Amino acid sequence: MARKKSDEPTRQIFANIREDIYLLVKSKSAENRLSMREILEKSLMMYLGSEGKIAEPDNLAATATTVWDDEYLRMQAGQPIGTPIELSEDEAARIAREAFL
Amino acid sequence: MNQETGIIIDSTVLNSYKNGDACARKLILDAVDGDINISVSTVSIMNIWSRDTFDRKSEIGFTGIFSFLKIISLDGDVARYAGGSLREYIETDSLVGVEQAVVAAHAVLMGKDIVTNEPDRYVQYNSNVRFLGNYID
Repeated sequence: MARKKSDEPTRQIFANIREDIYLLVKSKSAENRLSMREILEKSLMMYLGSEGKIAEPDNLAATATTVWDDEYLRMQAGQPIGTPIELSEDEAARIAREAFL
Repeated sequence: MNQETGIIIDSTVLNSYKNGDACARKLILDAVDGDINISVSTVSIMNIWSRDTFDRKSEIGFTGIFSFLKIISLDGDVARYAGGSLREYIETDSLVGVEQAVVAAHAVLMGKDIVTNEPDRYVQYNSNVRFLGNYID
């Protein structure tokens, strides 16, 4: 059962930033289990002074729950070992980060 | 941390990740973020899948992780190299060390460093081996 990636529209950005800042953020992101994308989005919202005014997309709100609370993954977890599973890139990333917490 | 050439990890690192090891977690999440190229041998995957604690959630969890790793198959060259190592270093009727022989063969033939939680298992092989904790530091 294939799942679509998030329908939330996105834009790709590219920037060379100071290495010391990058390394600190990477360390903090691993510690807090947040992706660089999430940190950048929160930082940009703070810069805009609009944190709280922009509605968080569903997939960010869902991070408060475990990965196994997802309906599709809960159903998949109940299947026998070897049952085929298809994951979107977002699902695979979330599973990689949270499945063994 | 060497983030350019990429590394090969074995099942000890993957099992550590499953068990919540902080160093293994940092390494795997770096791969998820695309900051490092990590390869894993199909023999290491076989080792993971064969454990008696392996369940459906483990299968889904590792399937997610493998989306961000390069899975390398056991081809003829690697099989011959690993077989030669096993003949030379391991008792021929023993399967112990097969994963290490294959991972070492991959590492030598692909020019990659091995990152593992059990570097002592690779001392007899002609490959560059790094202890996970030291590699992350």
